[in-house]
Order: sequence, then structure tokens, then C-alpha cells
Amino acid sequence: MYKISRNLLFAIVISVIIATMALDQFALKEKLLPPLGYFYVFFSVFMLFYFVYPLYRNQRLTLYYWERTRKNKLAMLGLFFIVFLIILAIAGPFFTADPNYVNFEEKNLPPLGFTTSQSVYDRDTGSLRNAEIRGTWKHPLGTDDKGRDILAMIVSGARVSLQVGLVATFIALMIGTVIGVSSAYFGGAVDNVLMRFTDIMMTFPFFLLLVFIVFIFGADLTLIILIIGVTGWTGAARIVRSEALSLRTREFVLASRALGASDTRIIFRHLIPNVMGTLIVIATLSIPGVILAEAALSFIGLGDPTVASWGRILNAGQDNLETTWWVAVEPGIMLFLTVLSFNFLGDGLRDAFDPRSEL
Amino acid sequence: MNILEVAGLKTYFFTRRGTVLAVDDVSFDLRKGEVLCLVGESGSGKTVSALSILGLVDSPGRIIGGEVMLDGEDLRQYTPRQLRHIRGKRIAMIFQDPKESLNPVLTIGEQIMEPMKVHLNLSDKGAKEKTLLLLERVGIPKERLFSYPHELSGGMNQRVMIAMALACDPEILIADEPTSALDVTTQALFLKVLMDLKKERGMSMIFITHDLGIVAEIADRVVVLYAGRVMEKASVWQIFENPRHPYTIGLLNSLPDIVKKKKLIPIAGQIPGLINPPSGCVFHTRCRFAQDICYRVVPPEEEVEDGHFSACLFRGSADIIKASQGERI
Repeated sequence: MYKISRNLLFAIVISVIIATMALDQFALKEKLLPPLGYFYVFFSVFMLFYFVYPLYRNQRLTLYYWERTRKNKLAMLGLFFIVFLIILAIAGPFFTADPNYVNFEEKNLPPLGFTTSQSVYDRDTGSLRNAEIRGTWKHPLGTDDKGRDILAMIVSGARVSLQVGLVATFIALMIGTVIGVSSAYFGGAVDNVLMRFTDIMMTFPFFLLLVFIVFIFGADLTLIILIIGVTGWTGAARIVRSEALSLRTREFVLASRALGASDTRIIFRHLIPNVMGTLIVIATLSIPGVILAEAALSFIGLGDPTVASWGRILNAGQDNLETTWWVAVEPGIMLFLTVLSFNFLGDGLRDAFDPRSEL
Repeated sequence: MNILEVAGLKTYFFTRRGTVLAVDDVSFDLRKGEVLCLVGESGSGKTVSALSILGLVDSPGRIIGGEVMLDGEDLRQYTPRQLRHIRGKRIAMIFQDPKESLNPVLTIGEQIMEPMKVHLNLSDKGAKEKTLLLLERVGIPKERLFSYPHELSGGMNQRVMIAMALACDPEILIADEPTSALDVTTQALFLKVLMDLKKERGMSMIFITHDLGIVAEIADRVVVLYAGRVMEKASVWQIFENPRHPYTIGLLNSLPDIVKKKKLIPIAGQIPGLINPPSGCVFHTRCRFAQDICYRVVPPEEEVEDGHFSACLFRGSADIIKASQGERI
């Protein structure tokens, strides 16, 4: 019974993680990981158990979809960039300088290969003079007005963006799937209540809520991720519901009930695996939205001030766009490429999973 | 000995346009080890009767009356949970379209093992062994364990369905038009596998079909349904040799005959709407023997000969006996 043993194993691993977290937060003096860190551990373990392992187990099906996705050049380009970004986010911070290290001696350095003319303070004469300043290898992407290395900031910003994008989307999809599938499967009053609730959540101005909560509780990345996740599930719930509605009337659901399967079993074993393709597509297409939301929040100055998010660098750079243009342009380009890559990949996956293009 | 008794079953669908009397006062019983065929046109209540036995009628449908006795216990008194343990374990059901009845994202091995996981306490290994045995028994090579439904033909998928249904050795198998989506040669193979397994395991079977050829081949007894009511109940011989209901006679007359090259006589008209079914005998609108009394009186099922029931007021009349023995045979 591989399924039960897998669920059991998952439960054990999760309990261990939760126990460690409780111990860490309340008993130990030296914190092993911040709360957010446990979040990612949980997220990774879940993905490993319920995403990577099934993909590995159904190798033939995985290969089949891979072959179909591979035909789409843009999607592969997107995937390439995303993989690059993930490596950058994981390994990058070990190789770059501290993004928060301030050094006024080296402020406003242009990127490598560019020169600007700035007025600098001359120690010998004690007055200002104009000088040509070149980009250096030490700061390949230049520095901002406080002398912080932009490459380091972008690398650590990539980590923030991916964390926000993946984890918030994951939370949103979990909620959306459960609500959408139960709504479709049980129908009637359950459907009505859940869908009206979804409507209310949909019309609720969540960005305002975000601003409001950040204003009250202070900007904290974990909080921001949680709020984006907990409010962003409505679209997914709608799509999953419509998909599950048509699945519910399929004969295999009736056949499975006729052989004694319970509601839970039908939902988790028959309905959710069948909406998985759609879920992957929704996930890839909603990650850029979430990344942009966090960037926007940071841009208006409500982001977590302790992390170097792309939105925050953009915000810092916008005041001096005429002189030190690179400060704003570089994270802008990264944001643009990231969003574009996820969209391309999402489109490619949608084509690969679309059964109508099967013929 | 009766293993299953259905008595006075009423399943109505409460739609916005009115109440559909899909199954209205249907009674029949299934003896141990026999094949009972439910015969009738589309919309005659065959499938709804079968789903009602398992308590699988979905809203807006509801079973509003009658008893379903399995070995002397009324399934209608069971809680949903108890009923779930009957489904697949004691009474299993297979459906019409094999491609639609299997989950496209699970391998056939996983699907055959599913009822075992639900009902039996088998180890991983035991379930797999049993699955391989079942696959072999229904004539599917064991490499196919890891295939997906779309990689198999319709006939193979239907045999996978049998394997799934038989995974927990049920006492009763309900087959809802399992051959309708198959072509004739595949049908023959499928029926052979099904009947062999039935004999081997001493199962009882309710077979729903509108194909009288299959009825003649496999049935022990036949229930003829029309517009949600039972028209005639008899052994297969009695039905074919001595039908005593104008509807059954009409059905048999509309069959082609290779030997005599006789003209086909279709039954005039259509099955009536079941929101306002005809008064009296539901068949009177299309019956060529109908008289005034048929419009007023609901005919009771009465025995014509041993074990042969007909719900026609004129079951014994000279006209019907003549028609029944008529040109057809």
C-alpha cells in the first residue's frame, strides 16, 4: 500500500519539522532558522512527496509531457532562465558581497564597461571636482548611492522573489484546490456557500488589505507571503471548480463510487490528479503576478526593509534615474525577464497539457 | 433461493419541470447463480433501477419507496457508510463506456487494486499478486499492469472493468449495457470471459441490455421494463416462446429474422414523457390491443404460467395468445 505508507511517512517528517520548529522558537537560545525558513522546509518536503515523487514514479507520463513541452522554444527559454534564477538564488549569496554593506567611498559606481562623469570630493585640494568614473570588476553591476553592490542586492532579491512567488502561490493553490474541488464535488448548498465566499474574497481589495496589515503589524516577508497566499486563491478555486464539475459527471467517478470508494478517496485520488495539469499551469501563470505584487509593495515602500527585494532597489533607484540609471534599470530587467519567463513556461505547459491539442 | 429482492422500488427525479417517475413500483428478484436480464428501450428505467439497488441515485433523484433486500437485509435502511461497504465488496457494478469508466491518469493496475485497498486488508504484495491473477484471468497480458487506459482498446478496457469489479469477489455483479460500446466480435469475447467468470465464481448477475440477441444467449430470466414499470417477468424461454405482453411481443416482432425474411414490425410511437405518464397502463398509448379499460386501470402483475408474470389486463385473451404465437416463430 504505497499510498498510505507515503502519507504516513509524510506525516512523520512533518511532525519532526514542527517539533524542531517549536523547540527552536521557544527553547533554544541560538535560532537555527527563522520562522520563514521552516516554511520553506515544509514547502520543499511537500513538493518532494506529492510532486517530484509522483513525477518520478510515472516516468512515462512525465516524459510524455516533457517531450511536448520541449517542442515550445520560448517555454524552454523560460525554463532555462528560471533554472538559472533558482541556482542564482540558492548559490549566489555565498559568492557575492553582503548586499547591506554600505561603503560611501565607492558610491554610484556605474556597471562594468560604462563611464559616468561625477563630481567627487578631492582629498588633496579639499574641493569638488569633476571626474570620469569607470565600472570596476569589484562591482560588475555598479553600486547605488550608498555604495552597496547591486549584483549582491539582485542576487539576494532573486531569492526573495522566488520565495514569495513559489510559497505564496503554493498556499493559494492549496486553498483554491480544496475549495474548488469540494465545491464541485459536493454541489448544492456547499457549492453555493463556498462560491459566494469566493466572490466576496474576489471583490475584496486585497492590495489595500496588504497595505493595511503591513501598516499595523510592520513589514515582514513571512507576513506578506502569508497574506498574498491566503487572499490569492480565488481565481484558482474558480478554475479548479469548473474543471472538477465536468470531471464529477464522468463515468469513472460513478464507477469508483459503485465499487465503494469514499468521498475523500474520490476527491484525492480521482479528481485532484485529473486537475493537476491545470494546477501546474495556473501555478506557473500566477507566480509572476505574485512576484510583481511583492515588488509593487516594496516599491511603494511597504516591503520588508531587512531584505533586498527587487522592488526596493527599483524604488531606491527611481529618484536618480537621470544620473545613476543602472540602479533602477538592472532590477527592472531582472523582474521583466523573470515574469516573462514564467509566462512563457506557463503558456508552453498549457499547450502541453491541453488534451484538445492531442490530435 | 433469492439473493436479492427488489420490491415496490420507486425512484423519482424532482426536476424544475416536474417529477419524473423514472422507476415506478418495480419489483423483481435475483436467484443465486442466475443471470437476470433487464430489458427495455432507453429511458425505461433499467439503469436507474440498478443504481437504486446500490443507493447511487444522485440529486435531484431520490428513492422514495420500496425495499432492496440483500440476503434478507434491507439495503435502504443502511447508513451511507454501511452501503459503501456493500458496494464493490458484495455487489459490484460495471458501466457502459469502458473508456469513460476508467480514470485516465491512473494505470490500470492501480485501478484494479483500488477496490482491494478500500475493502480488503491486503498487503502491497498480496494486492499485486491478486491483480496479476485477475488480469491473466480476463486475458490481458501482465505487462499491461502499468498501462494507462488510453493505451488499451475498448474491449481490453472493458475487461479491465471486469477485473476491477471482481477484485473483491462480489456475490452479485450488475452490468449496465457493458457491450453497447463494443463491436460485435469484441462483444462475443467479452461475453465469454464474463460468463466463464460468473460460472467459476458462482456469481449472480443482473445484466442490463437492449440487445435481445444477448438476452437469448446469456439470460436465465428476463424482466421487461417500459416507462419505469415492469411489463413482463419470465424465464428466457417463456419470453421468447410465449410472450404475454403486447410490448414484449412488439419488441420481438421488431427483431430481424434470417430464416423467414419477414418484414420488421416496429412499435409505433415513442416512449412517453415520464413527468406525466399515461394513465392506467403506461403502454396503452402505443398498444394495438388497447381498450377503454387500459386507460383507467393500472394492470397488476399476474402469473400466466409458472414463474411467468405479465402486467397486461388481456394477458390471457385470444388475440394476444394468437399474436404471441404468430408469424414471429
